[in-house]
Amino acid sequence: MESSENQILMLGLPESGKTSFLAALYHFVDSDVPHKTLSQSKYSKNTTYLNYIVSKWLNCELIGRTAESTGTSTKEVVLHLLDNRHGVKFDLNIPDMAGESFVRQYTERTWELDYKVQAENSDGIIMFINPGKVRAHVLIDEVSAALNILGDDEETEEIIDFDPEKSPSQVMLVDILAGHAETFFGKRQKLAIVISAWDEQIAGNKSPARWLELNLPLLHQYLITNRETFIYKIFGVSAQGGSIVKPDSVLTLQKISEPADRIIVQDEDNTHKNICAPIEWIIEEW
Amino acid sequence: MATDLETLKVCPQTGCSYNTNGLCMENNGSDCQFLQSVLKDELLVETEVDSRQDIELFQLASNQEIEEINIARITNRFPCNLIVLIGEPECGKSTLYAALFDKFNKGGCSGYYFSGTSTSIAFERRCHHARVISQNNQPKTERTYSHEFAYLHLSVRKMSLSVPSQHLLFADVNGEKYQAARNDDEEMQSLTLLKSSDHIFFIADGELLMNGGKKHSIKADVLKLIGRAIQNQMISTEKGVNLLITKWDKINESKKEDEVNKFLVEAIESKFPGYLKKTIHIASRSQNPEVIAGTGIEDFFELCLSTPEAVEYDYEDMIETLPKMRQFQKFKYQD
Repeated sequence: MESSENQILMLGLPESGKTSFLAALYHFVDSDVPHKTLSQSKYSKNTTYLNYIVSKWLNCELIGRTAESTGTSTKEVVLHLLDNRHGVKFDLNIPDMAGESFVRQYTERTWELDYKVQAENSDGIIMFINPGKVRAHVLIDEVSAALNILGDDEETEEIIDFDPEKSPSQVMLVDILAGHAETFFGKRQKLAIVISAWDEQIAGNKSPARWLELNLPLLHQYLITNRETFIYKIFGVSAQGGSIVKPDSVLTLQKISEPADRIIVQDEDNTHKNICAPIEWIIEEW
Repeated sequence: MATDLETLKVCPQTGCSYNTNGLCMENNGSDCQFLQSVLKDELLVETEVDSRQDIELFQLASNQEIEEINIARITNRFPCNLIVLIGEPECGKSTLYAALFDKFNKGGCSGYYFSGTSTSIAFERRCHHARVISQNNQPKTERTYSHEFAYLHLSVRKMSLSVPSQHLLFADVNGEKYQAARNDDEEMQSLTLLKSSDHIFFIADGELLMNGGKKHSIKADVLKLIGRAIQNQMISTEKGVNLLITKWDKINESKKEDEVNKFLVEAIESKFPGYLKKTIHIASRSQNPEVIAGTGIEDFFELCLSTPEAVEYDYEDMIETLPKMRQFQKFKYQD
């Protein structure tokens, strides 16, 4: 049986959870988790990078940001997958691109030419958002009343000049998506939005879609109003399953016998451990 | 890019790609004030140490203000409402743009959702000084030293999604240009965008209208500007003009609402009967608990969107046809 080749882009600002997701995904498709829909059909030609990030993930260690030392700031990743439901093999190309590259798309207004080709040929997009790294904007009007009540009469610090790199995350993300929409040439594209580190949000009892609506309203509006361009679905995903910074949490995570059981995925109101869910949703109509 | 055999112009600004492909971040081309002349040899040394020199780059649109010469990249794709804001320097124009953009940053506005912008960085620049991150203690917006003509783009869509996105182009013309137009017929006639516009707003600084020493000159300037525009047939009674009185929170705090209205609004209505269509009181920012921040922004926005020929689209039909549609340029700038 011949494999078809498909490409999914992973977008996200720095530390948005792209690489942790990829590590957990690679372990998941390669492990003996029962009832999974996607599994690895064969090893990729070169899995040095994947093995490195999976090793870190298995040990509950910080993976670190995607290095830019290669010059192109992109790690090429190809997974050979089997869709167990239909017995169909396919290759999935998921380049892991450093978050800084996406910031540059906004601030320097450039795309690496190779990336442009990938974008034009992509079959779907996963955009990652880490709630803990979202840069919101706070208006002076909103805090001035509170400061007046507190009697804050400190002298003004030196005024900081505008720096596009400090723009609110949602403005950057909308801009990045709009740039990609230019490459669709009128066809609709599937967009899975992954709210990462979801273990920290799950107690809030809100669906991932509601979280996005409340916390990134500009992005929420953009998605709704551009439904002729993007078919989107929002997932909450904790690839690690908990904090890998707090020692107690790390110990708890390390006690779980099957590392794939650490994974938390919320898909609308359903919570499960299938980290392939965003990919399955993207490929379901291929 | 090259000016002669020995020297080249280079831009030292971070983020500007003029040095690599000649595209100016400020949209000023080879006339940009930031460009510096260097010897070719010096430039070669600099490019050799650029760590990303071997990566081929594709240039995206700058998302700064759109220069008039490039405006067709929007108007060729979408029908747009052209909005012209006329006001003296520091009248609150940039603050108004910032307040409108921030409305969408927080949620929808007047039953509309944000659906995109081609000038996100230009809007962000205007918003910056009203935000805590600027460490500014007063929510005053940075004064923009704009080009003579530059545009901000905002697209919005009804929350019902019953119609496609509507596009607004705000002509951001610097105050000095209007000062010149107030005094000179030729300068006024060069403002051809007044004729092409869908809505014209005159902005009066509300704080100055309470200043006994300055309010008379403010009124005189507004009247002269309207008068010269009428004299040169740049505005008509059909389209008329609208008046925005900014910093209304301060006028309210001083209990001078009636006084200001009589002083300016009645003067315009009396001198130019039939021309003044609407007066909107604006408080983009407010530290007055009696006037909420954003007062008047929705009225301004709704007026910007209004057109005499609003068309309701069939949504299902639109999904089929929109990608194939070619929107023709609604207005053209004139030399």
